[in-house]
Amino acid sequence: MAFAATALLSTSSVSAQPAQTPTLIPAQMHSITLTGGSGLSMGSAGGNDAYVTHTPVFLDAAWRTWHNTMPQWVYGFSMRAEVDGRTSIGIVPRFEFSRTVGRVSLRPGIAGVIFFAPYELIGPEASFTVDFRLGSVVSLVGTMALDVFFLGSDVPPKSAIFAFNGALGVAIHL
Amino acid sequence: MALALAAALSAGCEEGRCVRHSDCVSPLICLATACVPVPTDADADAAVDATADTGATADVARDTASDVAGDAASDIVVDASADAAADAAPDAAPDAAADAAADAAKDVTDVTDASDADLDAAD
Repeated sequence: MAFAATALLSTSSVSAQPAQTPTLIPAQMHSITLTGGSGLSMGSAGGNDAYVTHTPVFLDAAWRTWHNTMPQWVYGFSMRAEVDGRTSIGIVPRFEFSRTVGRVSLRPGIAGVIFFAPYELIGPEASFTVDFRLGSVVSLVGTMALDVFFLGSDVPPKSAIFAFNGALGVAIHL
Repeated sequence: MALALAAALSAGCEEGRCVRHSDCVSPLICLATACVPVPTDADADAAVDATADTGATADVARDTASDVAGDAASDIVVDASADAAADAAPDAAPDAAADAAADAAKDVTDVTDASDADLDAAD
């Protein structure tokens, strides 16, 4: 805070000078994203024995943070809850690479999905998020994600679950 | 993306099929993408366990019977010993006292006899 104030004062004190490039005040940035999603889940027990159904609808509340001197590296986590035919809750730590072009940010990322109650369902997730900035604070967010679950009490024996999900929501930049 | 979501949501659940245990109704589990009761091999294991438990119960019963018999025998022995000791103690004490008194009396008699003999000799 003091460092930011000093930088701001130094910027204002020299602003009268011509041809001065704007100074970036280092700061940690944050955003909160609320999304809801579903998709297709495929369970396979080996061989030709596979079944595809829709992924239970889930709600995801994510916190993301990045430093404005390195805005391309974004990390954070979300709390995810399934609300379709069952109720479960999990945590999803994630790491993303962000590339902004105009009002659109593209964020490929990786995450770990860990549902922990009332059952365990654990696996990695690869995602691709599009953030369309509507203003200085709010943006629309869409995410496509591929999950593979192979650990946890909710996974049938000798089986793996593949989920291809999409989610839509709103992000608030703090 | 929205179209994909709509298509995914429209995909219904086929009755009795599953990809996760939580897709099935509570007593059932998901096995090879089908909701099934708890597998029969588990039932067999449970039966084996039950048999083992029965055997263990029988063993316990036998052990208990043996223990009871053994304990009873021990109790009888202990009781008999205790009774014998108890019986012997009251008897032994008067006997010992009587023996001691008899011996003492005998000794006194012997001393008296010896004294008489000495007196006779002096005479």
